[in-house]
Amino acid sequence: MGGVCAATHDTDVAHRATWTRRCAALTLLVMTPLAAGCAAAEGDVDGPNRSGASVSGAATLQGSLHVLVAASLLPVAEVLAGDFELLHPGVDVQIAGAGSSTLREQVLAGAPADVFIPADPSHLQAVRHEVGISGESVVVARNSLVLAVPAGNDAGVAALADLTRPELLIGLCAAEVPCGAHARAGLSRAGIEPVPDTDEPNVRALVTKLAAGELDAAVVYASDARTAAGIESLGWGAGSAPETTYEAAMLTEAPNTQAAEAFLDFLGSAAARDAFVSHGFGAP
Amino acid sequence: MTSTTASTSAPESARRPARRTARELPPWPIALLAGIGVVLFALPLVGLVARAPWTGLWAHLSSRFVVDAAVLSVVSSIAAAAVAALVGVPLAWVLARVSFPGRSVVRALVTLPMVLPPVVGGAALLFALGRRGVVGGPLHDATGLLLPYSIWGVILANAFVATPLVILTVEGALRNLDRQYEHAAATLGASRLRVLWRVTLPMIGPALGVAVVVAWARALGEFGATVTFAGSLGGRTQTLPLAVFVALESNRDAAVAISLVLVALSLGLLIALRDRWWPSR
Repeated sequence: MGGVCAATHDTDVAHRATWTRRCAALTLLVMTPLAAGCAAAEGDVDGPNRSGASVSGAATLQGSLHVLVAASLLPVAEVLAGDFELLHPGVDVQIAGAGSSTLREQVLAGAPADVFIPADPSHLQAVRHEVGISGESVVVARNSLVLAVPAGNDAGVAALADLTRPELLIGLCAAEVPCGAHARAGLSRAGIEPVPDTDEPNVRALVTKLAAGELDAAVVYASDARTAAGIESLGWGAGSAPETTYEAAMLTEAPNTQAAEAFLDFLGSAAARDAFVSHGFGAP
Repeated sequence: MTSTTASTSAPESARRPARRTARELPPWPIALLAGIGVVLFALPLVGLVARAPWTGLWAHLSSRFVVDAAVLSVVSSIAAAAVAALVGVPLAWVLARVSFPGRSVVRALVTLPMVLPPVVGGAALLFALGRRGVVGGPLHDATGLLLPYSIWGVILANAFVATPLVILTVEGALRNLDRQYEHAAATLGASRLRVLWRVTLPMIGPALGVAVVVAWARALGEFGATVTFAGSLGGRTQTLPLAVFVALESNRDAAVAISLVLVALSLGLLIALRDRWWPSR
């Protein structure tokens, strides 16, 4: 919404100089409801009792809480959101999941969000510098990469070295997203040069193709291998597996700071840790 | 886009009054809503142009992965447009001329990809024609042919979303066709295929041209079905839209540069089409 507003004002200014008076008047007419819409949207997520009450007071937390999570976190994030809502019935947690870099671009473009949890802390850097985060980021979970095969392992994949067999259908994440970057770094450390048949734009897409049996092997997160149906993990099997860390941070411009702080606290709780572990993640 | 082709077969005399009424000032609600429409479509372009890396544009566009993606995009979209014409024109002819039970079901079926989310279309193609697919499985076992992860998969995914545009456009043109010329040719002894080739096709030529070019433009911009069915590998299945999507994550300037080319190409094409097929001045 913020992005829409910003763009709207830009064009308004840019065009007013050249447009005829009639068009300018028309533009203003068009813009007014949009601007009003933005104001309303910002208002309604801003907790009504910003200036009071302790952070831990469950009854005081209200409004919606927008949490942007890496695609690999989606399954566990839904569970965590449900648990948090049970603790704070006044809060409506909205989870949005996508590739970490996609989310980063959305945040930089002004998407209204309270908490951002990318799959790699590097994505927090740009956000920290350009938009600002409030307080320190906290490590909430870890994940490692594994070699995974479709259930049954028809192609008889046994080890990372099989990723170099040209006759097999091999999938990786694109190098631009964390799962692809970490996979390539880990494979290169193990001295393996994979011959992928596809570089999927995010890990969910890769898992879908693998589970459908349309790939013989892929490098995915341990959490995906644990939770996705139709996939078997073969582990890493060549020294230490590449790992990634999930750091959560509250954005400086978070519309609902109280709920965001409570949510960050909750992510460090034993209950949240159990949820992460049962979804195949490592504890922080 | 497709509905406008109905006017292509209108006689010259019918076009003139329409041109005169176009000079009228519109009533204010029309002007307001039309203005909102223009803003809606123009805004994203403004955003793109504002973000464009004008100084390094050529360096971005001549990088290896962009050139690879561009070549693949051009080849696969032209092939997809050819497939769309080859399959779409006969289908349009049948839908326009032959009355059979279930015709509306068939028409809905073949135009479904226009309204279906492309990702759903791609997933459906994968489940049908993938290695483990209903048809793809036996096909792979018998011939070793594998459509996903190849340019054939890209062409098929592109054709899947582009063909409905040909079908709707050509069917509309066929329905608006004055059939007396076909009857005259038949009366003079021309065979049915000769009538089709020498009378019908030339008469719907302009509409067919529009249909194929629009289908080509649609294929050029295809993303969801392609990435879901054919995957994304630089130099093999990564078309320009896929390259834009991946580059957006790591190299925004390159992504915007490619986007500008795609927009310029499509916009130029549509403007050219307008002048060529719907004379307005």
